[in-house]
Amino acid sequence: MNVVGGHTARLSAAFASGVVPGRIVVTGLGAVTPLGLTVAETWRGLLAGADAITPLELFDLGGMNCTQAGQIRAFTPLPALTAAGVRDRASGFAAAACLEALTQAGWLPVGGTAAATLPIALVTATNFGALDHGETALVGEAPTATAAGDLTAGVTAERIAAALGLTGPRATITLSCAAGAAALAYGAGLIRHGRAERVLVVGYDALSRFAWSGLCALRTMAKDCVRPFDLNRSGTIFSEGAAALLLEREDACHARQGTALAELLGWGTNNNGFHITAPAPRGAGSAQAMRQALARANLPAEAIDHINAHGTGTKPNDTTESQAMADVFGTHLPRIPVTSIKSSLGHMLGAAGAIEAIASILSLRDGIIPPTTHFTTPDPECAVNLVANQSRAARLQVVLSNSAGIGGCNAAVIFGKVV
Amino acid sequence: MHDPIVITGIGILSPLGIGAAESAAALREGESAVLPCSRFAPPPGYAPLCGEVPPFRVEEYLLAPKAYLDRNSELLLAATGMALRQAGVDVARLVPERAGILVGTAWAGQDTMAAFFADYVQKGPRLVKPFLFPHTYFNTAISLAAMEWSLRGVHQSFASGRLAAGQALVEACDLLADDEAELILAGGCEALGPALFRTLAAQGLLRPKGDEAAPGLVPGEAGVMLVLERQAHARARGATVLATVLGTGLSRGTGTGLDALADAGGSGGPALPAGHADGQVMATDGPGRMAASAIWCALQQAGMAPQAVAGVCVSANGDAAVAAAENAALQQVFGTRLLARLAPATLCGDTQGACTALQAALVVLQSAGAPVLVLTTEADGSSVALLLRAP
Repeated sequence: MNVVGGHTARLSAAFASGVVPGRIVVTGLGAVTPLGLTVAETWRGLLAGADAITPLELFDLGGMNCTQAGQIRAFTPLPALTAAGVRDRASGFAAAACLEALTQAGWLPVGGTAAATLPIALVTATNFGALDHGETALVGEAPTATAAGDLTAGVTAERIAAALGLTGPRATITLSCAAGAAALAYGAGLIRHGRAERVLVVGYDALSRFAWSGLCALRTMAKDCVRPFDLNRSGTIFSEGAAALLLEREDACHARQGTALAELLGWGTNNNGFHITAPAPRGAGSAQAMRQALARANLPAEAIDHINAHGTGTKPNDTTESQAMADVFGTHLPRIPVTSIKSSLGHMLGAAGAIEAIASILSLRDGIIPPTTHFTTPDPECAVNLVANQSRAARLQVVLSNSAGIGGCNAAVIFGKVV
Repeated sequence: MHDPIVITGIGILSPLGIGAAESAAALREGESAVLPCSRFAPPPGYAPLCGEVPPFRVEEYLLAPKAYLDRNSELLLAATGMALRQAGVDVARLVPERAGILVGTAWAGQDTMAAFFADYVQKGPRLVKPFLFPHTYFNTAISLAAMEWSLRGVHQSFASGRLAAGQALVEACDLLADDEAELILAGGCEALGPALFRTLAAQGLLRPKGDEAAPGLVPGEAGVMLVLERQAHARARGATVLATVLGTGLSRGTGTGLDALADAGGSGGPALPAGHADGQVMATDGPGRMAASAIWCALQQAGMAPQAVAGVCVSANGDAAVAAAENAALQQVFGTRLLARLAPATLCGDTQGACTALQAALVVLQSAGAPVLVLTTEADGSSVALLLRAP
């Protein structure tokens, strides 16, 4: 039986048993970040320990004391979006990241913008959707139809699918800052259960007056920079952008002679069931999400070679996340290099889990871990093997990316090197 | 599915009433619950009709008092508490990490978002209310429910328009099939308020005032949660099975495996009607082909032929594109056979992100013995299908 015939047989079996056996691989990556408008630019910046945090100039800050952000500049949205009257920046970031991922995977020609139809499902992940434009519809004069439509988070998926010709099922995951990783988990489930062969997952968010005033009001933001796991850390700094990953069933990838960049081995999502903003004691929910991902991957804790941490730079997160890692990895934790790229990029909200998944995959590919920048003073309560200030070469086979978000949401994903 | 997934609890707050008994009675009466809005005034120039949930006290369903809940959260929390109660679930005896919650909503807490941003616009960014901000997230209601009942297991929040609750229900079944949880609450919530009416009006979706026959959306609200678990788990804890989930389906798109789906009819799956086995009919048909693919997926998973389905619960939300897609899909799958038909939106209004959960709950409350198809469809034809059978 050839591979394509195998697909059919497997799908048939899937509808009866509920599961399609086989591996899930990542075949395309895309990113629009404050460090660069492509994956390559972003990766170069991360490895160099660049700092994407600059004064926020998108709107009048009106006296807010949160003035630094990871703002994307000099970005031009896809012509298809502009032609369709799309006004929000968030959709633009997400669509551009998707385009890059599809191009890398070979579904679109280099320099191409859209195909007539691509048989690919789409899962978007966000905190605020298209609210950077939709916020104008919340109060004041009668809103425009476009602004009103921007108030539902699902609208971006429709726009991306239309702009790029994606014909598969669509879904939108809104699990706060764990959304990017949670969307990977959902996408993997769609493939595992035979509901799709290929799923494009994109996490995204744009900064807006609405989001910024609220995030500032939470009093979690640092004034200068993000110092994850540092004794003197003073908070996180929020950023905008998008990160996209194309998941494919391995045999489907091989059938079209695609190239696998990594294998998605495990995933897990849960909730702390504790508090709407505060992390659970010892990061119990995070620990459970990591254990769920390990169980799905059928791997012991010691198989993990590197952890790309949530690492927001807030006191509560970094302490409890460190405790969670200690509880899951035990005596193995000291040999596992840990990093937080939020120190360079800032916290990309709904895109955070997805961009950290991309960094994890690139670490696997290149054998190098980007640094946690701005680190000066170890915190005894954050006893992790931190990749501090300089990139570190490492032989990596399996990496874990951990995410969490407001509302007590957690998600973790595990990637393996393709051999 | 070797160990079937069953529904053991229904929490339902809809325009038909509060709770299963009231809703079932109202459904039997068949009287429309679409009435002039009573809690707020819709935008001038638009028909003031909507499907409102009757007054209820969320405190009756909670374990602890809450300082602030918006209506979206109230509906979800009340539905969750009610579902757990009906299912006889003692949360103190649950393994929290094996109990999950998945919820869909299209619009979440629009009134909270508007209230938060009104302070920004009118008073300035430094005078927004910090406590309101965490309630503006799309996942606020689900997170509050997870906190209230220590549901620390699998967790997903969907905001995929009208399919949101349906995707939550399908994913819950997949996660249970994978033994990722012992028990999952899944469903949806949608709350009406001035902000959502303003939004829908701006999009040109509402009917104009004085022309009730004009095309347009009649918005409805609902909080509907189902307790899902595997049959063996339900039996072990002595739960009453309200219905079995026979199969679930999400629509597939052009070139996304429709051929393989149809081919399955000749390789171990149920026999498909003539004209479908080669995959050509679904691959080339226009309206309804995606909805049909969702139905076929559900049938395949159930190992059932279309002839075994006795009834269908459709969207019928007043959107001509949705109706065209669903009618075409039903024609493709079931031919000219007449199925018993339920259309909750005609009684409740369009409950948007909650609608699949409402459809499923009402099917369970109304039907007995024979499999019934629940079909929810978006204007572009994408669909969710569930096959349910009440004992």
